[in-house]
Amino acid sequence: MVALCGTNCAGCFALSWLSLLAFFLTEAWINLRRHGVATFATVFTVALVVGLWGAFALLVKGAQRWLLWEGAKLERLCVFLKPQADEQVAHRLQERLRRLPQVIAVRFVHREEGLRRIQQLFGDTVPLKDLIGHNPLPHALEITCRSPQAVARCAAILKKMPEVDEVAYPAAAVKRFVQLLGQVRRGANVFSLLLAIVAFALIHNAIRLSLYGRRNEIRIMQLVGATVWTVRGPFIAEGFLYGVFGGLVALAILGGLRWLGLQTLEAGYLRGALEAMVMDADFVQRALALAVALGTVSATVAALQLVKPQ
Amino acid sequence: MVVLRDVTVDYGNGAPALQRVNLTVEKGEFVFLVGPTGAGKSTLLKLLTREIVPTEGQVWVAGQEVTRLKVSQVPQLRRLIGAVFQDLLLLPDRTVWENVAFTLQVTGASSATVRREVPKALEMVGMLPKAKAFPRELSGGEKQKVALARALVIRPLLLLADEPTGNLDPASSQEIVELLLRINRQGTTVIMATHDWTLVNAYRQRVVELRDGRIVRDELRGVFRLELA
Repeated sequence: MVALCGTNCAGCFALSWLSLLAFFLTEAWINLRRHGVATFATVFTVALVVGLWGAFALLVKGAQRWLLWEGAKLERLCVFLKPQADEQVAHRLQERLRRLPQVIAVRFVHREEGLRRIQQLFGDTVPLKDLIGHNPLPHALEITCRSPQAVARCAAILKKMPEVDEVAYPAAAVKRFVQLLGQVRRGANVFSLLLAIVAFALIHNAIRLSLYGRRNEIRIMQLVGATVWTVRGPFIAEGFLYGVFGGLVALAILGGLRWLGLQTLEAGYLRGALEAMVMDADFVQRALALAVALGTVSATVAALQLVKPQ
Repeated sequence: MVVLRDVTVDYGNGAPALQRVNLTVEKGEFVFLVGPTGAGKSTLLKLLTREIVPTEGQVWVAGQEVTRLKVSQVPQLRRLIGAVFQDLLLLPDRTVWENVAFTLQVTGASSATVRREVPKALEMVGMLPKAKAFPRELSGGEKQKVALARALVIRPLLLLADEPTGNLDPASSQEIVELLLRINRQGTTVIMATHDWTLVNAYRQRVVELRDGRIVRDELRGVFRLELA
């Protein structure tokens, strides 16, 4: 028997483990190169799973950041009065609303100012008033609440008032948007799960292929006294590498798409949301962890099933 | 070193491969295991590495009752045994050095140990000058020497060789047996299964003859009977 230093010291034990790890990774790398097409398919599938998960994680993150940036507007709501309500009614209502505990400020918006604002949106090329013949807008009040959470309560009070025709606030639209995003994200998670099952099957198959290609090595390993976990080690390392490469490919694709979007999109909400989708260290770590877990767990299951003690 | 007591191996496909075999091989002995194809030579060697377990009887190797070992203890047993099997080929995509180092690497040896032990094993079989060659660049005899170095690099107590000269010319066969004898003189017990009667007769070591799964002859300084050839 070959001893490392003649004793079973902790240093030898650690060195032995490090040597084994290096051996596993080297053998796994040899295998990946040996089965180029299978390796490409497996890495690509892992990348797809992680990429899909990452894309939606970023999307939600971008939406949340964007909402935070636009936070001040979330505290606002707009009250459109009934068409018959004149300026006096509007001012009386303004005074009443100022006394509400949820409200910080109330600003009166004359129907003419409202039209001017819409005209600004369309530009000067289309004279709205000439087109329609009259100003269809009612007087309005712009209300700033103490917090975005207070907006819904305030809106509920306002809707009950007889002078009020309609209450519009961005928080409601935002809420619906976030709900929709959540549903899409759940759908994407289910799709990711299905893809993860495909990735699992591909990795399983890749390990089976490796086992076949390495049957001589395995027999030698078993005959010279390698433990069953030493025999399984290179295959588990192979799964680990599938995960690492798949994760890196997914990050590269996501990063590339974001860069492309920033190059092509002009300033606006979409660009703002894209700028908010920052691939920070936490995101990179989570994406890589997901990819490595997928690769390593799949390969470990395959190795447990296919490499038995002999 | 090796004790087989009333060992029977029955694969369940006809006559048992081994029937009530009793054999003792002392430490430092050199044994030629002879017999016709299907006599049970390879089965006997596989019992010693615990690739198979006997249907009946007991097997001891280096003081351990192989038949009672737990699965987790088998690797430790195998680290005491070097094996040169005819079907255990060299890995074609690795150099001579890498083939020999592979044996050490799978047992967790450090790179320092690999660097120290591999040249010694290659030197012993005279293959150090070809350490960087790939198996396809070697002759049959050279490949067998590398296989021998691969078995020796773990410094085994027991060396098993199953038809190591099977595909070799007489000169190369002689070289291999002389190498095995040299290794044996250094204290390693050697059991060599062979069909080559010229070698057995030339070196006059202990001969154990198997026929239909039974030991029919066990002679010190024996010869190969020509009817087996």
